Amino acid sequence: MRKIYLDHAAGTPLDPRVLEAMLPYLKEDFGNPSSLHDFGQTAKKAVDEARARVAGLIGASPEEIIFTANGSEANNLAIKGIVAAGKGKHIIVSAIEHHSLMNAAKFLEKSGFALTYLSADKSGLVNPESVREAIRPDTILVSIMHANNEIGTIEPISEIAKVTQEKGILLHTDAVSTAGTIPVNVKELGVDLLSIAGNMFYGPKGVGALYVRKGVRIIPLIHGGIQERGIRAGTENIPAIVGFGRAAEIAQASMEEENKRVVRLRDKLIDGLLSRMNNVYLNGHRSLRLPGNVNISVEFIEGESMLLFLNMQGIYVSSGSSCTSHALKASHVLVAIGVEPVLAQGSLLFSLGRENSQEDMDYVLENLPPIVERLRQMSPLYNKGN
Amino acid sequence: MHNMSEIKPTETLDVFGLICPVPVYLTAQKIKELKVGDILEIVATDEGAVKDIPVWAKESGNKVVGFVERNNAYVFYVQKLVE
Repeated sequence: MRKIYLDHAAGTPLDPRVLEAMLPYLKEDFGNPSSLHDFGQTAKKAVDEARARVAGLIGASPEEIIFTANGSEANNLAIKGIVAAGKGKHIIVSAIEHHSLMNAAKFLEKSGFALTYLSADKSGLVNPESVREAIRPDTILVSIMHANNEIGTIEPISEIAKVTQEKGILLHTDAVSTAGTIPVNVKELGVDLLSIAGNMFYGPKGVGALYVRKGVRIIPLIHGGIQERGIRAGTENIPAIVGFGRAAEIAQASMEEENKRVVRLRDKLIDGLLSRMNNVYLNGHRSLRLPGNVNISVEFIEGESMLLFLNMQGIYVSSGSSCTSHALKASHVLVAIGVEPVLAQGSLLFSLGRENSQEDMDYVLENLPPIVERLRQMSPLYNKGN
Repeated sequence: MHNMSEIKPTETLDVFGLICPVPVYLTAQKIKELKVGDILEIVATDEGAVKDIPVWAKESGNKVVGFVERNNAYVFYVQKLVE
């Protein structure tokens, strides 16, 4: 059976070149970079090289990169580390942030900080003017994601940075969905802090990074020894860090070509899905959109049932509804942009990647409409007279 | 000691919120990058640093030329005297 992986937003396969770069550090080069002997120094050199490559991907200096275990940790370090270092009690975030940022924000709110959750418009865009209006004398941080992982909308971070710079407020952006995928340059974006993750661009799981602009003070989440200049203690995950660096190098070199290719596939998929089925809607901005993201809502049926039928056909996607299946809560992102909760439950997220081809898109376009038709026949919500 | 307002540091090392042994470790690393005669300003909050930095300075042949408490932090000025 054909197997078509279309859930790159959840994780990407390891590029073989990345695996090759990692292997020595999983085998004979097992030293700890904090050790002074040769074994340690080999490891330290590998970390330094990876750091430079990751910095290069986002236009930063190596000393501005703090390695973390993943994007969630980078987000937590950014928001908690900044508020611990600063004065002021008010934080501004968007209503469509990833759970790792949102829940860190909510935790701070319970701890006594004031939070403003900025709404996004129907297409998922956050208005820079709404940031300006929300800023107070005691605001210490604004955090708006570079692109939304669910609906693909790319936010106007440079415009938002103009506002935060004017007001002297620090700006963090969660670039987990963008770094390694679309061009990300910290100076052009104008951000002070930025989160990235290795498993999003054909690197390994278990590694991420937080960019902290030189001069920005941040308090550690994880105290201990001297790793990462004392800001993030703990023996480094050398193989993953090395893989991260190699993946960053590869991503940077192939980005332009690859995006042109994927955007073509994405657009054909979007056009095909919307034309072959009725009552199907695209979520997120049509053009200010991640190259591989296709998030649709299919009226009258439930996302997970589509997902399971697609799985049987060898098509692996994500449902747009939240992972909290106990509560059967709709995605907070879709609800925030005004999608009716019932419709939000019927969402599918296709996220395309390097291995996907036009044949894969054709296969999806052949197989999804019959599944939808079948599920609609069974659906109590579907009125055949419609 | 110099008059605090006269000291012009060559560079600043911010170890605010970082805890022993990190402040001294980073100080030792940073001083390697400076030239003899340069002054390093170290901003620390850790109580351990208050004890450690003067001891480190003495043992490494460098000199604490200033100390002040400012903005909830301890600020040291260390002059590099040896390579």
